Amino acid sequence: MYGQILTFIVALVLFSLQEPGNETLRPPVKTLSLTAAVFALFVLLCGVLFGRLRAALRKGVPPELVAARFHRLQGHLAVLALVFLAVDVFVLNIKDFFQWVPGFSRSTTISGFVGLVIYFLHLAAVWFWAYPLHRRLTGTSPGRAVFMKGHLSFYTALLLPWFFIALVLDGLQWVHLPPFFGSELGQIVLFGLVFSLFLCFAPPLIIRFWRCRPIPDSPVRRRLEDFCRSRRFQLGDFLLWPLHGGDHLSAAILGIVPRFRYILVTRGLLDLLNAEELEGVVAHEMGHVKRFHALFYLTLFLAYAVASYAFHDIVLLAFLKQKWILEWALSKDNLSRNLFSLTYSVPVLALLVLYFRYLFGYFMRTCERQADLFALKTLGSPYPLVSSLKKIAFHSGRIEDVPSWHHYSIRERIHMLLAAAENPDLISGHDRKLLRSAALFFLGLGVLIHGAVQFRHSEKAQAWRQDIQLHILEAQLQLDEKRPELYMAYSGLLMQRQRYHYARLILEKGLRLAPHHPGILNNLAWLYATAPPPYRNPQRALELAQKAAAQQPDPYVLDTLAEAYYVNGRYEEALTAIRQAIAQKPERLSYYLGQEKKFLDALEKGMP
Amino acid sequence: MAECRLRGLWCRLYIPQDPDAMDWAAFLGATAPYVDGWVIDPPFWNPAFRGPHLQAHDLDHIPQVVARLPDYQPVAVRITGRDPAETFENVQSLEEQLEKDARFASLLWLDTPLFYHGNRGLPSVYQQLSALSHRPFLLENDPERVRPVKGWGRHVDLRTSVLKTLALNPRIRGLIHHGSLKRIFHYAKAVVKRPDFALMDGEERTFLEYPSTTGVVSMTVNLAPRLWRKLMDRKSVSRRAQDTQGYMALMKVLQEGLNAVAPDPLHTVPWALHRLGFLLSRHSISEESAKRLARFLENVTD
Repeated sequence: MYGQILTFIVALVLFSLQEPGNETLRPPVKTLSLTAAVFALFVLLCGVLFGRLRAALRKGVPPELVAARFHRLQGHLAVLALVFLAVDVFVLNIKDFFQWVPGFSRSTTISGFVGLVIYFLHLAAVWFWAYPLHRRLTGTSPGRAVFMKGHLSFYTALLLPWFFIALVLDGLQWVHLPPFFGSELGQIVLFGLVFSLFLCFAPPLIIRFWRCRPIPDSPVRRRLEDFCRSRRFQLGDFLLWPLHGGDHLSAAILGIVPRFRYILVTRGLLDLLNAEELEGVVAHEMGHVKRFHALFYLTLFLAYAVASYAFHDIVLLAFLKQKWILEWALSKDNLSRNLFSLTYSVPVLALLVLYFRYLFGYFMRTCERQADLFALKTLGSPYPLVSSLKKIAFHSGRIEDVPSWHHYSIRERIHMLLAAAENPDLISGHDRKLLRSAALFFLGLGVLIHGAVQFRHSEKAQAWRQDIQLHILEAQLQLDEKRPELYMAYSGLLMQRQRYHYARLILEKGLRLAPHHPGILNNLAWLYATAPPPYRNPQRALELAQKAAAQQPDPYVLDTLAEAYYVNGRYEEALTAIRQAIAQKPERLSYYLGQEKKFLDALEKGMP
Repeated sequence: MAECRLRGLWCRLYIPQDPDAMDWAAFLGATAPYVDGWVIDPPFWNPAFRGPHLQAHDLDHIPQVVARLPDYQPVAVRITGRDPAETFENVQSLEEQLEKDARFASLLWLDTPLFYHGNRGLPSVYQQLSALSHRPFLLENDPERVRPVKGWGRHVDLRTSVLKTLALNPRIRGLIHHGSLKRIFHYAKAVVKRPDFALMDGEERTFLEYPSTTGVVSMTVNLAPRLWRKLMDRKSVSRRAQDTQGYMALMKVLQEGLNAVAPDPLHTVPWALHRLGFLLSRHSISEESAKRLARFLENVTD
């Protein structure tokens, strides 16, 4: 389940990172045919691979081995479906087709939904071909349609958090929020708030989506209720979970608010386990709540959001600093833009997978073990849980040794339970281990994020940004030489980078094209007034600044005029000009006041 | 100009120290109908030095020379300075002087970038130059002119990978290459994605032996434009096949002429131009050179 969530996140990122260009790569019919051919290839591949497994089972390969391969193959195909999705998006440019969908380019929810539909089509092919083998391995036969529908509704519900958050964040675009929520940090806080709200109040919605029903009144239900009551564990309800037709052997807990908290048990598990074993399962789920795992996972999600906020700029800057990548990004043709999106996706996806698959995965495994150990402590004996795990492994197709990135294998879980029963110190030892790991992780991540934020505001990052802006402006200037604003912006950046010589040439060229443009006159005047020798030319600075101010007496132009008077030793006029600028209440008032003080000081020192 | 492909016969125009010393009308009347473009490269004709960078007085001479040329033919004007800053200044200054000239639309900036810059970062320099001026650029790779200012072990040739990146800049329209034939094959591969990119030979001798590039920049065309034109017209294999004997004879004459001119073009070309009546001032050369040149000029006039 968690692996699938990770693939959904990757699918969403893959789909959102690509930006379709202005022109389509191929004619629509050709693109559609190619997309269909690529999808057919995937379907064929699924058929062949599951067919081989069926053949292996027929040839007498042990079912537990086939079961292990079966689960592995499903995981691999879910990942391969992502590769096919990437081909659809980056090579075939399929997003181009959905531009006509209203709100597709503006709404994260709509574009993400479309991307997920395409990914689900691939998953449907996997489920279609997986069904016959699933039936033979588990001995159940709910029918292919029911099997596929079960998978679909299960995984769709997993996407509810995303859907809810994306919908709310999309909706908030139309609501006037305090300016803080417009910032990146504000967005993260908003994301955290929406996610917390979802965790608290969404479970009733999810159980309706999954069509869960309360477990009918029976001695087993009453025993489980008594068990919870005796442990002062409040619960909304015990529900039957029709996961994959209800034959799947699984249980889960949903929600953190007691009233909206549910323990879900599949019909298969309810039939398979006795009351004592079910108590073990409930104790395990109780462990997740008592040890605050849901909140911990939320914190891990938020930490990822903060980390991606901190590193996003750096990764993007590092990429755009490479001129060939910048050229792709600035290009108008689809192929280059796709190449840029694809190249940029690689580190984003690598970080995402690294974080969730390895770091998050480690904490999930550790939390699962903590929940197992909580159950052992609560029950006082490992056997109910051990027995239930053994039954689940056997009836799920002998999956004792099937590895999982978010769960230790059933064999490892049983070994740990038995070892902890013999040596109870292992329980507190494991709790300490989780605490230490979490502390170390958050400390390390905190240091990294702090470093990244510091770097973002450093002079080096600023220089990177300016370099990129310079290249962008260079490219724009090459295309259109008649826009004075480009000369202004370009020369401004060049002056910031202290490339006065080139800035002067650019401004002189701009001035030749637009001799009366106040912005260019102003920038050139500023250069002549403030640049070091041999570029300094106070007399010409004053001449140009006066021309600029005569046309557009804005604060920034008056500031240049004041500076020009100042470098020419005409302090009184400098003071008059800067006061005219201050009278207009400019944005960076403190800067203008500083200038005023500078001129005043000069006037006092300069006067006899 | 934007659609014009650089190719054919380009004349490395002889520029005397005093432009008024030339009978331009007669010279251009005899030359212009036969050439496809002009290269204005004053440092090439400066007897004081052989570097490709412009001197202050060159910036004054160039507009005078450009003004005399026909406005229907492309003109490559040298912009190279001692460093990037000076090159930028040269572009700025020339553009200021020439932008009102009717021939401005036919101008290209000719540059030997390795003279003032290494291979590394060269594409950036041209990005900046392209922002500064909207005229196209013609590069020159001339290891012999660059070598004297380069330290030991430094590249004197444009690296193929750098040319490949440079060719991504649409403002760079071609390259005049001097030196090995093998290198030009590599260059041709590097610019294969730019069918409009001109690769011209800066070495007449190489071109006469292996006429494989899109054109040639010639200094002897100052003296024998008609002969060169004839050769260029017969350059294609099919045209050569029609009159192999004539083609070979033509090549032989031009090679002899080149042998007479090439050892000391700074003196032989003006001597010959004076003899042809285009240059007012007389230049002295050795008796042996004079004999050879005179023989070549007789062939030319025949």
